[in-house]
Amino acid sequence: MSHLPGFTRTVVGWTPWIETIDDIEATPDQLAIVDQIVGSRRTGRTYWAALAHDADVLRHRHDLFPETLRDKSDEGGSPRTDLELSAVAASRETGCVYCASVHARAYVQFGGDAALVDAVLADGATADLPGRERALVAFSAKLAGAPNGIGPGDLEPLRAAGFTDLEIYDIAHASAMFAWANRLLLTLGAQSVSG
Amino acid sequence: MSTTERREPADVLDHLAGGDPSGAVAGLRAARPDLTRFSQASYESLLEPDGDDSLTRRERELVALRIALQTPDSRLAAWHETRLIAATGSPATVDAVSAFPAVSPELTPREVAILRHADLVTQHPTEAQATDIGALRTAGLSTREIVTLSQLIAFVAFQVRILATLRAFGATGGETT
Repeated sequence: MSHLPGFTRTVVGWTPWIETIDDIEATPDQLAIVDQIVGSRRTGRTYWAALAHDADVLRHRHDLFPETLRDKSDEGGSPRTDLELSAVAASRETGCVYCASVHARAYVQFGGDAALVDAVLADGATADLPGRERALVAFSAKLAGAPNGIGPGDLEPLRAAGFTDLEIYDIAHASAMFAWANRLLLTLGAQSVSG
Repeated sequence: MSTTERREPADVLDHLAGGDPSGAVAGLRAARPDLTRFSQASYESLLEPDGDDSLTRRERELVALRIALQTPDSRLAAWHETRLIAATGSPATVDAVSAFPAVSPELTPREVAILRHADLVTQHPTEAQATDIGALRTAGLSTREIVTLSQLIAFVAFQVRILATLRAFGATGGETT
């Protein structure tokens, strides 16, 4: 019954159900934040122009969002690929085809294995994965789907797989950030695969 | 007002995470100062807004309380109960949010539409349709208010997951290395 396309690593389109600031007489504040974001990212303008109606909230959110995905391997934390894989696992669990697609491509772009992320897109937390990635995906998916069920015991499989606590903390932020992003993409517009 | 009664702690996530006997939570948060301060700034932009040209304080607190109750996150719910009552709510309003979608004279039709959307986006985001945005418009929300509402609901989804993570670390005391 879902109107969403299947999970894929190919490009997914997004069409907002609300007008964007490009459809109205935008304020300088609204235009400035969209220009700031789009100037530094390769993703399209429409999503940001839809969110820019509340420019102050978008500005603060866009301080946080790139920080959650920033490579922290030089700071005792997670490499970019782990953060992207966490984003994919969370998006797969919540059902955001668009987010899963963007970050599956990013995972490969930053050096991750395409077959591995395709398995996560296909099967989510039940995918047949190496132990390290299996622990990461299981935690990120559980945090996405059942945050009230997360307890101390959920940290142990990650620690056993070699993750430090700071890495787990970084992975949790990537997953939680996509609990946020997934909901915006799923509830403010339609997702579609062309062709 | 004593320090323990201050309404606004310096950092809401620290305050709501609860006990940290080993200092594990403090250590993680200090190691990631940008995640810490940007999370707090997003909280303030959505729940301590400067202007009054989008959702009201009361509406924002209704939404945050509803999500906290449904998660459930009792510390977060208690936090927003206090704030809702301060934002012209009453204990009866808290009860109405808790009993939602039961009909209550405490909630306006606009507030009912807002809470219905909060439940949809929190629990069943893949089921959202264009008609759900239409229902918000019919209830009188502007496009800007719809965006603010969407960001608020989605932010609380982020917040409860960070809180769950912090509490897991607080309970285990963190790694010993």
